[in-house]
Amino acid sequence: MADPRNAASSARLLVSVAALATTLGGSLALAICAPQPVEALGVDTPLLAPLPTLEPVSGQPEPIEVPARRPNPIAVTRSSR
Amino acid sequence: MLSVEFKTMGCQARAFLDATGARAQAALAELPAWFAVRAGILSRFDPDSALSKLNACGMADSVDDVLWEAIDVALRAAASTNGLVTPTILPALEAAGYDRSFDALDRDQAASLPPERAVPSWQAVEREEATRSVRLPPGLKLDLGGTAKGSCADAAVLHLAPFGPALVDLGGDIALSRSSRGPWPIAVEDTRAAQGVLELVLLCEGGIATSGRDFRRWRRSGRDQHHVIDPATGAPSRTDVWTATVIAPSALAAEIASKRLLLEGRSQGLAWIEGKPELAALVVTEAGIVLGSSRFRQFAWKEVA
Repeated sequence: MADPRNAASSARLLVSVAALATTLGGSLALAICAPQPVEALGVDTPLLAPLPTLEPVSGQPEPIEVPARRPNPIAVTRSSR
Repeated sequence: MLSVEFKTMGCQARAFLDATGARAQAALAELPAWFAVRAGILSRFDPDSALSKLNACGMADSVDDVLWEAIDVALRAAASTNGLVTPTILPALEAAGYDRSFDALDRDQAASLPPERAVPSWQAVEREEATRSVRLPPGLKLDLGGTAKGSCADAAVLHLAPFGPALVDLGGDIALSRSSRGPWPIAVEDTRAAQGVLELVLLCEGGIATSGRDFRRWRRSGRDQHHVIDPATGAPSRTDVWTATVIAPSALAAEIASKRLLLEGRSQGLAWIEGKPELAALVVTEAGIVLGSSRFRQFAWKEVA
């Protein structure tokens, strides 16, 4: 079985990370389709959130400021460990 | 920024709270105990947990809120994925060799593997709301691990919400709420290289989770095993997806979608993601190829020229 950890880096197909940059009022902003806030998922118990309804986000994406310099990650997503 | 780090539910947890003051500090300090209560109820490794007692007896009455809700979440996940992400895989997972906590697991087991067969349907789990009763048919046991982690991460963010924006990272399943400081920068780990980062994403709220067969691996009867069971075969998944990361409206939704993507494979899984406007995904295939869904680029940080 091939192990991706051993795959040559040259074989990697880089994912396009072209941001959806839009000039808004002279400032550069990134339009991000923000996920629904957890508060809007109909959660009515502080114990365990119910399975959210996966509906499209309504309304216009809210522009947010894009850090000009690469920010340090505050967390890392990975398979559970 | 306040933070706390602890171990719970078999993984490393961290939480950040963008707040100041004694009440916020106290709320964050309560989090390890808050999780410990849930871990104590939902653990499949602790024979005294409510889940283990249910699995051992096949029945329970007057089930407490935490277990009842966790079973409900897991069964709703199964229903929403046509049984693909189901809690009924536990006997198959144990037969594959994952029958104790991963830290205590023999990573090279000589025992034989059982013949492949489909796991029991999630619909075989009987529940009675009025008496909070659960009945499991013979041979059916529940593993609530993945969905419990995702929903607990979401619930922990809600728990902290009165004090400020929060991020809760439960071993890689991450829930977060909106911060006035801007989006939370989160790295997607690249397991093909030591300490590698595949992408850096900026998230305002919701959740992100990764499912993969890069970790929690062992060998049994000379064959590689991992913890993501395909319910159709009762054996570890053998699709072309090595890891799948999903951005979603909640950590729970991200956890379910990432596992679904892993189980369906890149073609079918990414096609499903494309049809869900609220989801974005990044996949590493078994061959080491990295693929992103069309909406993933909206979240990826890029240096401005």
